[in-house]
Amino acid sequence: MHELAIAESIIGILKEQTSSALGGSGGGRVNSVKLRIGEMAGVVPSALEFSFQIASKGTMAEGAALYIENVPITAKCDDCSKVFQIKGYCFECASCGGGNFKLITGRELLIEEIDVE
Amino acid sequence: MKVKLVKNILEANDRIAEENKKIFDENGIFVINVMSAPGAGKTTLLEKTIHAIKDKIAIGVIEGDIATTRDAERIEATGAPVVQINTDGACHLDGNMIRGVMDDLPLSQLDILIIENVGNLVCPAEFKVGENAKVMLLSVTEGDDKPLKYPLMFSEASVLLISKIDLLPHTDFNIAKVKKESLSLNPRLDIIELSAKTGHGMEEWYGWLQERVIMPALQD
Repeated sequence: MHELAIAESIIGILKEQTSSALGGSGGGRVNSVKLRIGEMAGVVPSALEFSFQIASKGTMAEGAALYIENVPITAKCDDCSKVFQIKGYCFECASCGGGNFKLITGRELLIEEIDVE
Repeated sequence: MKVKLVKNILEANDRIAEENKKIFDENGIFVINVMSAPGAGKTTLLEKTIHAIKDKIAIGVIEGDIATTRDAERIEATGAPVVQINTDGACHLDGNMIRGVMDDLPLSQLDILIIENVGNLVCPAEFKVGENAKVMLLSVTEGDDKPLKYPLMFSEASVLLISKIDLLPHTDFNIAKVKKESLSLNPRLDIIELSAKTGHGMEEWYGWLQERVIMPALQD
């Protein structure tokens, strides 16, 4: 449900960045946008793509391709120091079964790269 | 031309939330962002809390709702200053919405500002609004599988209130399991079992809240 708000934030950043990338001359077109989205962010990729289509209408990003890289949840165990991937939201160390760990990835909500002309 | 960015998509919201927080800090207000699924008992908890502590602590409320003003009317009846945000379909409050209404509250007179978010276990966790702490309610009737299904909310919260505890005998809700899984997501999480209806655990909750308000009278 929050995908539309996220899509609108992406458009806001694209507007800012394309004008600075093109030396503040305004205009510019966005061909594609690469995102990195962690599994913990609760974003449904198809809903984000749909929201992006709506939010980008009439902007320089209209019709731009959206590439979404999903980032799995990984954590480092405080007990055995193993780095492991959390699958199926099973929040325990895959190696020792412990419950003390720090998340390393999975919270990302990032624009990694844009292609502008 | 490819432009490398690595930019946080919610940066604009985070920045506004940070500015909100500064304004609240300057006014000496402790701000909580109350989140839960619909029907977990947020508004009832707030009504009881306001009645119990309003003589000692000045409380203001921002009510987030998708369309109605029902919750705000219930809070208004307690006598606490309240402003309503209708999100017009949006599933969460964000920093900008709070910024838009904060001046309608008597900020300089408040000790606590309670922001009641839209009922939803997913989206509100992602959007900061300028709070000092996130308070999460989970009612026993919702089932004990929620921590691992909605891990972000549990890992962001400062305190988890397990609500409607009076209904526990009528459910198969496993409290020990919820506590264990919530703490595995968030080892610093405080957990309080309560029932706004019977009053069970409410004193502990009031204590949690009051400890966090910097008030000379309470520090004595």
